[in-house]
Amino acid sequence: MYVADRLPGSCSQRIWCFAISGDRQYIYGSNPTLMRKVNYYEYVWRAFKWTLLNGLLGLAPLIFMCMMNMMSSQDGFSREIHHLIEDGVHLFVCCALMGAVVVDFWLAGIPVAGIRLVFIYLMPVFVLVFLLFEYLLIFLRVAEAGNFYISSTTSLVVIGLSFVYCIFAKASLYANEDKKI
Amino acid sequence: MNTQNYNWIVVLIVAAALVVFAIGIIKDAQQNIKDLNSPKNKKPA
Repeated sequence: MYVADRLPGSCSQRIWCFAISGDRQYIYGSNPTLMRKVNYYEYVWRAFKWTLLNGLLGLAPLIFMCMMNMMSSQDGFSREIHHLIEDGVHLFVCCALMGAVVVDFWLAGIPVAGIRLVFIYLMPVFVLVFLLFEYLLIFLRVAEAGNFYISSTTSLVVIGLSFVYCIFAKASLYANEDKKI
Repeated sequence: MNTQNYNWIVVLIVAAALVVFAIGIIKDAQQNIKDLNSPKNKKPA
């Protein structure tokens, strides 16, 4: 029996061929991880690329404005760029990336328990609460609005934690997707 | 009362959370490595 199938989600780029002969099943495909001993760092590297490229795409309008500002003789976008960064547009992108990973994990229905559950589901909540407290303080007029510079403590904590979370949680998701086959 | 004296509580909570998350990351990676290298997941080339 020969079945060629296209897997959903992040595996959609790879075509897998299943050749079943008697009671033994052989799996052939473009994924090298099933052909030899699995190296977890390949998943981490793939997740790192996913995070970086998604982050760049999320910030594409801002990067475009920065490029235009650099190339032109006028400072046409300077005010807009400062305005966007001070309002925390980079933190919105971090939240979107973490949200993408956690929703993927939830929809994939991968069972996790114990401390893994804390890492997968509570870490983004922690980062989100950390960020929302800052907005709450602004709302209560305790903190000043427009203080989300890249070098601010809130920005550094949110960017750092969301980057680490996205890399390791996405790597875990890739690994679990491959385990299901 | 000076609120600066209580900053260490926040730092302690955040540090504890970071330690828990770091343990979670390590345990998750260990579990995935173990599962992926189990005989069930090893396929002949």
